[in-house]
Amino acid sequence: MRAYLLYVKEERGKAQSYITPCFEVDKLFWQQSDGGTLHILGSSTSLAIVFALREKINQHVRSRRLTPETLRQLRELAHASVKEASVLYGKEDGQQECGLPFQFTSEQAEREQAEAFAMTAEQIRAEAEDLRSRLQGRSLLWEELRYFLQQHAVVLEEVLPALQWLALANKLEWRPGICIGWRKGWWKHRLLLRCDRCGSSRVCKTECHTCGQACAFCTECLTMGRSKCCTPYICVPAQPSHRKATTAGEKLLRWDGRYTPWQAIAAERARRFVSADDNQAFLVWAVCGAGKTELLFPAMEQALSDGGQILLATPRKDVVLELLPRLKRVFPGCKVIAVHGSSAEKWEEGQIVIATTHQVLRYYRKFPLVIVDEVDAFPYHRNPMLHRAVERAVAEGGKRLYLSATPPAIMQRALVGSTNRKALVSATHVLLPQRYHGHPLPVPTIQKIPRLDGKLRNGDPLPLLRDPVALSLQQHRPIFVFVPYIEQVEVALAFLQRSIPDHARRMAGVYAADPERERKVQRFRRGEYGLLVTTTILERGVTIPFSDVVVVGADAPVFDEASLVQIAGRAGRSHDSPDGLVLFLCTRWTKAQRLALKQIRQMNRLARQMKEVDGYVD
Amino acid sequence: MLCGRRKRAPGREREVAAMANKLVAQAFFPIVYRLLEQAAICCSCLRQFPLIDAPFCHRCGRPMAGKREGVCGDCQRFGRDSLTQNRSLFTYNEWGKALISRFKYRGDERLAQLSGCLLSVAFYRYYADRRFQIIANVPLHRLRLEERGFNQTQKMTEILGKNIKVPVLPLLDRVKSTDKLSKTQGKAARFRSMKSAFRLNPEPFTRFQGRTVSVLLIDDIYTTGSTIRSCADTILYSGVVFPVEVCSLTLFR
Ligand SMILES: [Zn+2]
Ligand SMILES: [Zn+2]
Ligand SMILES: [Zn+2]
Ligand SMILES: [Zn+2]
Repeated sequence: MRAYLLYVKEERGKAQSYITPCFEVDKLFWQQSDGGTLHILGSSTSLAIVFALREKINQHVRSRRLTPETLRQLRELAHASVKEASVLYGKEDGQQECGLPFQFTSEQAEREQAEAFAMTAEQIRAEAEDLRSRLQGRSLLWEELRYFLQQHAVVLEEVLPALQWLALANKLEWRPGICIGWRKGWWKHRLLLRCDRCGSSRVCKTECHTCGQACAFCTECLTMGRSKCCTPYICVPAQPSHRKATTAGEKLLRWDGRYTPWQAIAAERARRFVSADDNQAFLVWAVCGAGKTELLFPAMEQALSDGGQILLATPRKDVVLELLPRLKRVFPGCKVIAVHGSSAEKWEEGQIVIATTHQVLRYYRKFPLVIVDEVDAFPYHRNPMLHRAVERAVAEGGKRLYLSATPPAIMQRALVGSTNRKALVSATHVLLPQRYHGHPLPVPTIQKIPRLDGKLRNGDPLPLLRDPVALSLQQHRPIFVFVPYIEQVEVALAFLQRSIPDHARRMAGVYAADPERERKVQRFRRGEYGLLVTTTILERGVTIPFSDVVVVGADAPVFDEASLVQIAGRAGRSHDSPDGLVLFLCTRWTKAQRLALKQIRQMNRLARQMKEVDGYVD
Repeated sequence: MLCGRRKRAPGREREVAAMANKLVAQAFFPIVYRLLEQAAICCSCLRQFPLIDAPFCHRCGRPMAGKREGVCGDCQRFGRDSLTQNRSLFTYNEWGKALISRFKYRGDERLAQLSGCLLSVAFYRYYADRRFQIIANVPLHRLRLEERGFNQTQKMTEILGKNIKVPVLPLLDRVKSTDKLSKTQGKAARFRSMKSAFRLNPEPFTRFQGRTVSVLLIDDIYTTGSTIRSCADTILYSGVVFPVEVCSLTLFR
């Protein structure tokens, strides 16, 4: 079991506390730099506990002379805090009692760490520099780090001194996977457990045999490995000196497409944002079907010729896979890589990196330009994890360019200004209310049907659902039927097959865990199926852009404003059928439906105004 | 939770009752009904339970479709056995693999509750009329445990112990860190590699001085039976002087 030692360094009347997994390295490091005396406070196998204590001690110790008495007080403070954390940990949500408390010992702390150590400062420093050049720009959990180093034929345990050396030199951060904090309330104190990787506080408490004490793991980013209280999360910022500008005038972009006048303005605005130094964030607010990828090309070319790497982050893997060949084609001289769960290029470097949300979590202070594509992110829109990941992946002083069809209110306020009267352009945003073919967004028809769910189950006649669906099927327009929950897939499918028997064989139902999913989606794409009943959590490969859309149960809480706007935006994307059917069936009106309707109408109004003031240039 | 469906759905009570009826005799119906009712499992998964039904081998619990009741060929060849009998609740199909891979390999400890609950159901199905003094789970090697952070079998055993009010005691230590079981090929090789992999901790027996002690061994999956049998051998032949009987129960096989 690895223990982490907490000590205070005192030097010329100033004191600060540090954490180390190998105290010998710290002794060596401080001897080499500014000297000072080191006083051990104690040790624990839980990195989170030691981390929380360091914060506490640092607040206490600042500008105070260290006497044996104050050191005793500090140790007491540490023990009292750990005890309090243990009590709070056990108390919360009562039903799950945990036998193990947090542990922090002051005795024997040093002896535990006194392993045979025979390295000179020069050796460690050389190893540290080598390690840094490999790890820079990454943030990895301990096990990921082990795997990453294995690829370079390095054993993690052997480079522990070098890692600690980098941490002492402020070139690496050594954090716990789950952070512990105390929140003081007037009513009761609470213990805060929060995942430092994804930012979620949805953690599960557990008695852990890795650290032998109370622990917790994050349930939100579990698919990327377990982030725990005792798992180190190693973050290494990229070296800023990494950029080198390409020779001026070299043309990186090979694209001969044409913009509509307004697309041209938007693209130029985005490019100017990248080249100028005054803003850190920019929003391209483009309605679904506005043709947004092309808008990015000038901005990306600008960033590339400034010598920086670009990260293009999107929540959906199928968007990653779709963008890869397009970007490879238009930037033939650049290395473009796709990074997703099962990609072989996951650990490689590229000038343009296209990554899914989860993979973005693995970068740290790396990219001078990060583009966040959320336009077609549904059903993964508004994912707080993505935004946290992006904040971390962007380099010091770097820029973030957001593409969204339904930007969250916070972003609207920050980058667009007033939410009621929307300006079309500002220094921090540009709005594209018009689709590339110039037709307005289809406005959803909302129908209220009492006891909708029961009627579907019983197979009562529902002409409001049957007739428009039958019409779409007759006209051979692909149609999506969205339901809020998986178990309703079967119900809705059975209902539709019974009420439109002529087309029953052209209907299918599919959900995320369906083993037949890929095959069914393929058949739908090929037109063998005319209708697909599905839930919102379908993961990939189901964007068929020229379809009609019906939502059965649009009042369910899974359908928020943004998802309803994005669902509606899937209809009528082609030139030949710009309208498309968008039908929401519900038992009652919800705020989300009202707001979605309002937003779609507002966008259409803006598009109309833009047409009237033709050639609307800034 | 396992498949993404909602637990609460119309008609769930009926499904739960039907399954409980299928699983146990009338006397234990209320207990099993309550267990399933509280479990985080949807109607659809409930309906797809890959139950092992009679006829099965009286000794090792293997399903013997189409054959008459009795003892399977393997068990007959085996002859004398330290393990009195084994029972398993489910066949290890795709659903089981999904459960185990999320719980054991991905480390989603929230599934301990569901697994423990299903294990309790299995207990009432097969062993409700037996008295056990000790429950013990197949342990992990210390290093493996440290690496993984938890022992999935122990987690679900603890829940079983609480449900049936029998103490879960640390009877065994794993002293040999066997290479990953899935990798060692062949039955004979596995039996060899499991030999003397465990050590008995006789301390828990002292409180049952002289009486016959029935031990219930728990594991998550019964593959060849080599792990369970090695545990039973260790318990029986490590110099314990009073009579001991070992049965085992696993969730899958
Ligand atoms: Zn997390
Ligand atoms: Zn731990
Ligand atoms: Zn289920
Ligand atoms: Zn048998």
